[in-house]
Amino acid sequence: MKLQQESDRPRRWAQIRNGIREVYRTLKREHFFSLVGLTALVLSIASVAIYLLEYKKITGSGYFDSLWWALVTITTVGYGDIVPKTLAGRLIGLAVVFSGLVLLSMLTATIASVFVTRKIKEGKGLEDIRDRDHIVICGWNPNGLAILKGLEQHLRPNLPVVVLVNNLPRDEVDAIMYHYPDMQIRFVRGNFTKEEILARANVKRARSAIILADTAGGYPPDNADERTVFGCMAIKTLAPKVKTCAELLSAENREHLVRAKVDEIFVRGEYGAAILASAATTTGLSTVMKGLLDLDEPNKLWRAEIPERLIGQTVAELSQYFREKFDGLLIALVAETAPIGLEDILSEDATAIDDFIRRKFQDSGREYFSSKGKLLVQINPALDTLLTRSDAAIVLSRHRPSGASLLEKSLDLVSGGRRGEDR
Amino acid sequence: MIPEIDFLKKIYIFQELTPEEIEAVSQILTPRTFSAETTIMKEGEEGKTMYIIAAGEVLISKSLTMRFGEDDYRETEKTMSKLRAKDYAVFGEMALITEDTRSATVTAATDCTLYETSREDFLRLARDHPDLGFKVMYRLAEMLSKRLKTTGQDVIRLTTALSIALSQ
Repeated sequence: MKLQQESDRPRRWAQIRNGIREVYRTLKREHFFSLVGLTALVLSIASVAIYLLEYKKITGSGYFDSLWWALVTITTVGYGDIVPKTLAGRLIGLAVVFSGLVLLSMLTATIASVFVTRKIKEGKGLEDIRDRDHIVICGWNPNGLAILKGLEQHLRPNLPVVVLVNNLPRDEVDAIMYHYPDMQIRFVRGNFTKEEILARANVKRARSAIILADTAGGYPPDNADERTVFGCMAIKTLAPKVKTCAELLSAENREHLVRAKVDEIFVRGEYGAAILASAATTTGLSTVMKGLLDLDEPNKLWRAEIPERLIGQTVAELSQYFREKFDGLLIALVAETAPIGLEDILSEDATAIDDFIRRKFQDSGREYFSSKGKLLVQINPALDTLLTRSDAAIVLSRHRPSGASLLEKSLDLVSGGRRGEDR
Repeated sequence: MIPEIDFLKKIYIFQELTPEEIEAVSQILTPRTFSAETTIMKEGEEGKTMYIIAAGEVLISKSLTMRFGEDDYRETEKTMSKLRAKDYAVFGEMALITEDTRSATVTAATDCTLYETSREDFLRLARDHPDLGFKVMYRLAEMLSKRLKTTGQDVIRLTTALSIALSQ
């Protein structure tokens, strides 16, 4: 967390720089700088003319007074401290007043339009997202609100920016934002299977992406899965390291997502069947299962780090620790293995065999080494299992047991490597 | 040309020997010259001699992949390494122990002078001077066990790479 704070400052500077650059580009596009140039030209011609024709001969005042008069006249301020007295001078004054009226109103209009366009774009979901470490939610369906609720509960107090990418009407997006006033929700309008739309959502710098079965938002619901697959492939092409979680309507399409290397795949109704079966046979079991997943239930599943002193000890001691300290129940152990890279296999002193292996892997042109480790989960681990440094605990408790929540921590782990590269 | 005692003392397998013993060893070494680019030994051929590089450089190439039968003309993967006289290098030393085929092809990279000795000569010398034989054999065994160890590590690296490649 500390690291992140330290890095906030350069990031903010970069944002400011980007903002300034953006304003500059818009102004340039709107011919703002030619207008400024033209105004300056009129000003200098008028002040030189009035200086030569009038002030130099009559009042004997300096050139600065002429410039001052021209500026006061062109902006239609007209103090009247300096006034042309000859006919020639008044004609020049006339020209300056009229050109000033036109030029200055155009200048003001240009500046105003920059801000107005941005505001309009924002409302329509046409702006480019500049946030980093945000969560992108592609597509929308009625479960989306529950997802936002879950994100809010798990990630509080460090709520991330959430970017919605979908084609919902404006009022529905407003309604979503209204539901979660604490969260920073941004909106990008468009089809998330298109790379340029994903690029506008800055998916490259995102922490993770959730691809929902897009049954809302005007696309035919029949091919929602198809669009999910295309969207996942587009995200994996644009940002291979961003964690992706996708929702499918039909299990048939799972293999496509596996092939696209999507990190987490959920098929809608997958677990409903198990709960239904248990409801029919075992009284109470289904209620417990539902309760575990219900966001309104005070008892929740959390991910907790294992305290340093318990590493090397048994699961029995760990469950006792959670029981006593957090009134929590140890449900599972999860361990994330470090990713294996090619260099991990090869020896330090490059031998002929090392060269051979490296060359063969490179020649194959395929990605054999993923940048992500594997996740090993042990549900209800045996009491005599020894705890290692790579283990973390999944605990059922009323309050978050010390430190990070389930979602935040696992997201951090996935994006950790990528963030490291950014700096 | 009789090999110099000082030079022979620096060869790894002779390092334990006394000056008298080295003198005896030098009796069974015959100098041979090879002009650049000539083949000194060929992988797969019968070999009965060991060489010490006295001057020049040789190129050692060893197949990394198998060739299937006589008709297989596919290019095999090869490793290349160079040995120089100043490394006090020997090659073909396995022929001193086993009657087997050469495991690598050696060609002269420059014009070079080598000392050659055959298995018969060496074994006769070792039988006549058991002390000498033991010391040289000990060093040879040391060399081979080191090589066996690196080969074992190579095998582990290759099997790991293979399992990664197949698990995809």
